[in-house]
Amino acid sequence: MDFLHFKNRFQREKILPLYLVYGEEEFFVKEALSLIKSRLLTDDSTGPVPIRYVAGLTEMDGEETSLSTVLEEVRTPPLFGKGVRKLVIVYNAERLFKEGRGVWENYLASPPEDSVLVLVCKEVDSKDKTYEKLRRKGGSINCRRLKEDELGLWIQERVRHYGKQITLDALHILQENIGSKLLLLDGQIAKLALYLGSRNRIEVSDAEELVGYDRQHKVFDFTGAVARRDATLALRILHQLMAFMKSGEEAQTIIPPLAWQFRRLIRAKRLLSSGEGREAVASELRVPYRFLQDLVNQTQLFSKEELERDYKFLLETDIRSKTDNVDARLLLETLVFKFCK
Amino acid sequence: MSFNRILSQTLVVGYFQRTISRERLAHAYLLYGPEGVGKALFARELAKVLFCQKKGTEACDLCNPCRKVDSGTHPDLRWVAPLEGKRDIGIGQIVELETQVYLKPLEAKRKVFVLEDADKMTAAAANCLLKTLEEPPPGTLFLLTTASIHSLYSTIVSRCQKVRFHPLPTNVVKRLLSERLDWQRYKGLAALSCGSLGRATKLMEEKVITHIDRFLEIIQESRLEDCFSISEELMEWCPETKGLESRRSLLRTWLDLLLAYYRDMLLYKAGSSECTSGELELFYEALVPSFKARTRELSVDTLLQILEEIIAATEGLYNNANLNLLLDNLFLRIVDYEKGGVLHV
Amino acid sequence: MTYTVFARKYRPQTFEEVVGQEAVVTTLKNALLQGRVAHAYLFAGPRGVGKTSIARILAKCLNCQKGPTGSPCNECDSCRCISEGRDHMDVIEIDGASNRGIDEIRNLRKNVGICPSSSPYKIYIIDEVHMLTREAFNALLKTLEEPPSHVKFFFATTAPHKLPETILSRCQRFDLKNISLEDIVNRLKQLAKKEKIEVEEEALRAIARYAKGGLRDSQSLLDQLWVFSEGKITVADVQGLLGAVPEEKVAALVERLIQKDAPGAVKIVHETLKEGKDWDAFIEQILWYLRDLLVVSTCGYNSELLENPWREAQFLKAQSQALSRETLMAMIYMLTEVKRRARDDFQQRVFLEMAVIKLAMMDFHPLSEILARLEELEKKLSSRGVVPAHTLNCESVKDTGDSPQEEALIEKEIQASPPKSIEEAWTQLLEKLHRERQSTWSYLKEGRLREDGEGELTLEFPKDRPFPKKYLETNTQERTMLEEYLTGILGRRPRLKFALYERAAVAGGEATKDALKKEEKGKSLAEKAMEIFEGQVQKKGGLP
Repeated sequence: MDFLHFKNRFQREKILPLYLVYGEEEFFVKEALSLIKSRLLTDDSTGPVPIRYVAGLTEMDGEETSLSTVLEEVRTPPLFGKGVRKLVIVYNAERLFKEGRGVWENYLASPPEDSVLVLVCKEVDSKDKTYEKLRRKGGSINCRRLKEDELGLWIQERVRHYGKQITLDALHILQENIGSKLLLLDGQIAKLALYLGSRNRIEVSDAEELVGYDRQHKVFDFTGAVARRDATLALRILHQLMAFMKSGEEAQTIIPPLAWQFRRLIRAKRLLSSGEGREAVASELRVPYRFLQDLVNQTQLFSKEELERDYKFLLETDIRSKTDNVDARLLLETLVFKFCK
Repeated sequence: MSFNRILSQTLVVGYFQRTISRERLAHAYLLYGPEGVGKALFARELAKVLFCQKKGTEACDLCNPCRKVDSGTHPDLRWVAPLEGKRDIGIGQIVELETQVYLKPLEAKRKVFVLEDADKMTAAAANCLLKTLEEPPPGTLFLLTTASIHSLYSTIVSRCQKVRFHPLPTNVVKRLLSERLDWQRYKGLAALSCGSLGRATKLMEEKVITHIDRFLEIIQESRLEDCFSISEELMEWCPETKGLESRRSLLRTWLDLLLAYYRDMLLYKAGSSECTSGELELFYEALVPSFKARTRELSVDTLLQILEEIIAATEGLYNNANLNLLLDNLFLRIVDYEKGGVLHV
Repeated sequence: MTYTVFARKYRPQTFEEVVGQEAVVTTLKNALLQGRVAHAYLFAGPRGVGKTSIARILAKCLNCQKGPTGSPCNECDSCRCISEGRDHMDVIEIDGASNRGIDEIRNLRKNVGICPSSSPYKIYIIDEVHMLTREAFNALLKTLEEPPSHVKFFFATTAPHKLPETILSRCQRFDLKNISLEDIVNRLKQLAKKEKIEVEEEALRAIARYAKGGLRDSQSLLDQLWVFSEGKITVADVQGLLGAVPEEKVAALVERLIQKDAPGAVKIVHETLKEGKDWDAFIEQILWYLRDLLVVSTCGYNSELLENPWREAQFLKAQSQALSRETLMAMIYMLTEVKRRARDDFQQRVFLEMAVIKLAMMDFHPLSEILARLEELEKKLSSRGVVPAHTLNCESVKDTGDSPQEEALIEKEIQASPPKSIEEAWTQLLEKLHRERQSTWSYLKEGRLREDGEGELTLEFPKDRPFPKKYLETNTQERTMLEEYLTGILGRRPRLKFALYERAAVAGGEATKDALKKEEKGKSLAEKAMEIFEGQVQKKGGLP
């Protein structure tokens, strides 16, 4: 079962004796474990302050434990008496899961009443029989990485979790700079939420301050400035882009996205002049919708020859950046002047 | 006496003397500048001043600590350089240095660590040094030297006070050279060293000195007509006995001398109408009388082209070109250019 | 005995003293106030921008006897231990580069479990963390995954890309930026005041520029200068220490090149050599000077974009007009070639002399450019109803670039719609916007539209009202909409730029002033073309 699905339903359903938590997205793995834990909490009011915790929790590393040890641990009745269930979590359980093929079947057939076992794996074989059985019962939790279109929603939800909101452009900056790994994203969101203080919404300026620039956007702005022969603006955008780079690596970081962008402009110009419409540009060049109009406008401002010439300038600059011992900024600025000549 | 050994780095010497008398000596200095201008020598003399019993801004050269520094036996002066037969300073050497940094000085009040050619530190070694270099225990002095500050990690550079050693003035090089032989005739060549004693000694190599007269004769008088025999003669002057590398290095010197000659003519052609030859800073001042006639038929453009050819040949040396092929082609082209026929493309 | 260098003496001790990292500081202070300090932080960034300093301040905040607080007292034992770099029982600073092995980290793991002795937290500051070995990282990871609540990890590194992702994903990461020139200058000013050092503002700027965003480097330099100089520290002192050439010399060299005075230029090169200047730095200086000229000639005198903004504006403008952009670019190229090819000081010297002679003889205005300019001029004249006295056939020599067909197409388009003056188009646009998009109209009405060159339009706003410009530059939608409107009115898609202008003192006279300006521009262009042409003829004769 997909983790997101599991998350929605879990609180309403009966807890199972065995869970298989697998997949690459560590953030979800953690969340799944804490969801399961939350169902097995015990109140303890014997101390000065009453606390809630998982009383019978055992955690093991599957690479350092044998199958029999795990089974023994699960079958030993809990020490805390009736009503307190045990929770055994085994990390890195790939080997154990494979080894215990028959064992798991038996286990599922007659599970101990008051124990819950969780196996955590990176990967599972989808043709595995135990897996299949578990899947049907709802005990397999697939913590896969989110796809690009799911990510936006997740970020928004996570920002809400910290009691804040986020603008769409700021969200793009997060996605663009941090990628799709949720642990990393979460760290950044937590940081931004703290930075806001009493303010409510994460704006582009906040994200630019703490995370980075929306490079795609900047690249579009950059070629836009070049298209308008506006060297001043182009230089300014270049400097913004460079502010975040390590000295010595500027050229290698900036040239590839620029090359990609000019390539896209050249191809778009070809498509459009052969009578195709914007839709063809969008689908064939995979241009995000938010940039489509800008791209089409820019192709009109450049002549075909200009684009091809600029593309060549890029190549020359790339080579020089790797052979000359010239300051990268000087090199890239000279490129801007060439573009805007 | 001691700082007198440091030639013509008066700025540097003055700076350190002031620093010492004002008691503002920092804990790490990076001494940088061309090769062979006295950086390591200075590091030693500075250590001497600091250890000297006279406690002034000059070392006495006579007391016990001074003599120990001179003989290389002072226990509080540690010298780190690439190990024999090694190209770089490894992390092992730095780890050892770090253990010494935290020991108390034995005889003096402070410990001095010299890292010669600090740019030769490996990445691991440099990173390992960073922390100690920034905040060493009191009484520690680091002196790093380098001839190429650009190849040193910026994290290292940024932790030191930078002290620049400039190239030695030509007359100083001249004076040094004249101690060894009669340099009156070739005094222009001192300028060729570009203020580096290291380079000057290279120019003075036995094999260069013996043939330099003949060389000048060839390039002036015979006008390079017989280009094949010239390259043969040049090859003879650079015997292969010490291996290909030393042969290339010798040839490089000859090509530099050739480059200097045409460079002189270029400057003469472009500037003699407005400048005296002294103002032009010519390498071969003695040859000026011949320049006038020679440059009459040569345009600035032609001279520039010839110079480009020589530079290209020098680059060929570094790219392991076949030496005969290289020299033959070079002189063939020079002759062509001089005849005014820019035939070969 | 050992004197404490400024960089160490003035290491920031409170968040307020940290320069140029406002966002990071705000976030950390908020975290402290809200009790939401993460268990692991990573401070990444270039040298000398405050990574270790911030980590230490944060440690002080957490373990201050009056804390946890956003501003440590700097008086209690804990604070003073950390400030003075003495051994602190519960704040353990580890140099990742010299303790990079697994044993050190295992040791650390063993101690992590032990509760702090005298403070609320046990804090590990690991500097140069990227230097740890893979095994050490793995060992560290286990602790990072489930650290005891009394343990905090602060990592600092100049190379975050060398850290394994597993570590990265368990830290709250801050990327520290290079410190701006302004910030460095201000910090140096404070420091100079405290130390009673007299120093020229310009000298401070030179120091900051040299330090390229590193505060530590700039402080070291000031430190040295103080010992080095008697009395007030001047720009000349800075240049002297760095082996840099005075700016006037660089400007004079370029002036010699403009005057085509090869001996004069060579003389300047020789003078600098005699002074024992740093060659590499000299070439670099010339390069940046030429780059500034290029900026002035392309973007106008815009001090914000200049590398060396305190140069005389008039002088820069004059020089940038004397050299075409192509020439400037060719000059930059030739000098970078010198840098690239020279293997030692000797070659550097000879190559630079050669380059200077070449540059002094260079053809500043290639024929194609003159023809293009004349063409432009003709168009200007014909659009004003003046028939040019002569016609030039430039088809065969025309510069590559715009394809003839496309140009013809544009021209046809222009002719198809009734020719409109820019003023007219602007009025029309405002009327239209007033009807259809009030909000846009309201901020646009202050602007004015100017045409420069072929098809390029500049929308200008008064200098004291810069907002609309900024808004249009960053808001693609709004700009596109505006272009759409203009396309409709002009019958072609304009190349639209935005700029600011100085508001004229008398508002009424603006229109006439504008017209006058145009008149002048036309005239100067004509004159310029003649100059160029004459220059060319003279040049030909002067060639050897």
